[in-house]
Amino acid sequence: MEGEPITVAAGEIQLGLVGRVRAGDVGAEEELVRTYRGGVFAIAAARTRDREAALDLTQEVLIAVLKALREGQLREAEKLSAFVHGIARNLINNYLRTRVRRAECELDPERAYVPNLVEELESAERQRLVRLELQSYSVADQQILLLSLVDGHTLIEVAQRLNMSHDAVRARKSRLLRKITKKFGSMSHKRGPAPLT
Amino acid sequence: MDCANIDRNELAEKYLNGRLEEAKQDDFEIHILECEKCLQIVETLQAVHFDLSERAPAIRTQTPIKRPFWLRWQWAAVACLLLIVGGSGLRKLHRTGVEQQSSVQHTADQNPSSSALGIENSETTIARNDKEFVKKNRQLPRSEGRAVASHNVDTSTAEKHPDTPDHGDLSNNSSSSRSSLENTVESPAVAATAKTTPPTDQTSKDLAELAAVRPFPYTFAGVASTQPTSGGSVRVQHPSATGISEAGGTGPKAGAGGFSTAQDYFRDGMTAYVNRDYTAASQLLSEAIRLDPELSEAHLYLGICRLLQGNATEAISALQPVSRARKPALAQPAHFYLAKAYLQLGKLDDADRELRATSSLPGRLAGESDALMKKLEDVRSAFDKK
Repeated sequence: MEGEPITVAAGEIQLGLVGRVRAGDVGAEEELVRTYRGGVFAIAAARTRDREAALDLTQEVLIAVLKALREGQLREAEKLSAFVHGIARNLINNYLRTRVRRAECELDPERAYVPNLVEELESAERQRLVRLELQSYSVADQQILLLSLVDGHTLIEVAQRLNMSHDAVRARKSRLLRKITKKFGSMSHKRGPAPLT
Repeated sequence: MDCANIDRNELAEKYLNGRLEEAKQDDFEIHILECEKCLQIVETLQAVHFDLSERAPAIRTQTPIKRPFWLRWQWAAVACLLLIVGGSGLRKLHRTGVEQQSSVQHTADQNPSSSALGIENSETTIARNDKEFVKKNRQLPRSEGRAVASHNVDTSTAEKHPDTPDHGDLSNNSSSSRSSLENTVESPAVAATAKTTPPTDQTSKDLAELAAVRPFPYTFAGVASTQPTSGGSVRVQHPSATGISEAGGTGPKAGAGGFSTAQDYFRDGMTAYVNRDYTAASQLLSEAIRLDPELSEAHLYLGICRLLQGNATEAISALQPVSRARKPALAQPAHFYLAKAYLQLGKLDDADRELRATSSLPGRLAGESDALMKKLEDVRSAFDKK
């Protein structure tokens, strides 16, 4: 990564975190889960397009990461994010290929990761608010977002379909996304309370 | 990869649409694991994506896809109507005032004790007889007031000369000329209003019915058993079940076992397809195509999966190469589903062309294609009539 300040464990912080997890520090495990849960879920949801499966996969990935770290399988601690990503990608691809999800971990149930109900509720609430926000937009605005974000049309195609100018579509889409991101960006995943029990 | 680059190139959007290259996708995913700001953008877009996907049919049918040109000027028509109504109201007020003034003048003419000439006469009569009328008359524009007054002066003369239109005629003339003006202005607006209501809803419903997609049947004894034309022996390392053992230093590395060929991915993809899991099928078929770009069957079913997922544009790019295949068994369904994709996009000429191509090829879709062509023609002619 370059150019931007990285907001989560990087470099020395990652080193420390990996070392602490390896040493059996429960607090470090909680911190790691907090740090990566949102990202792993986003990746799983994007790749599977199935929120339920993404939730299960997130749990599996985090358990697998913790298990691997406890066993000292990560040699270059500064590459923790790439390590997490590698595990996530493998498990997601495996899920897509076999459609069988297995509990691979033999962790002590007391230390196993379980989904945080508060986070689930927050996620559902965010989804509800996003819906309300989108429904408050004009139909044309909703169509611009649908055609470009979901259907994957280019702005020119969207403009042709809606009988609008290219500039108008670009401006409206940009304005809408800025508005939504500004409004809901702060509501998105927070490195919140520890989801470990 | 940095945030500015992600923002500038709309990588988050491309990522969620599955339009990033494999290497860029990995870089992007690692970045969002580390950058909270970009992760928030992805999460928000995912929430938007999820909601829009759920309500997609409603949003699509809520408004006609193509808004007619004249509809965009509806506000102008309304403004014109308001102007005309307002103008006619003013004129009517004016006419009433003139008629009243004329009757007052007529009374003055009949009364010998009052002066028969000039504005003063008229005003004094008005002041004496009808204060309300004075109030109205003062509200008129100054020039019109003068015209009215001078006309009143000449009224007695006008009555003596039949060639000169009298007050009533003038009023009638102005009224009729105004009404003809109203007609010329109103006509397009009225016609536009009449046109706004009927056609688009029914037409878009008909088109939606035509564009509806059913999955093309697939049997494992058929295409799946066919070995790919080339690259069937391409083998890749497949990740192990947990990914833990390979996930050393810089990320996962393949283990010793678990090799997969394009054919393996295709078979698994078609299993998902038969189970109606089109998302997984798309992913697996894409992987099969990545390993063996010549695997036409994978292109065909990937295109159909994309269509069933509601992504017509990607469906077209997957189906177009197959439509040029020599085998009618592949080319015909490719043309047919291309037609469906074009119908979903509202490109009726392209859809028609693909349906004709479908009909021209031997296969089970020829009959359905003929029927679709006929329906499409009906819809288009109905739309043209409206």
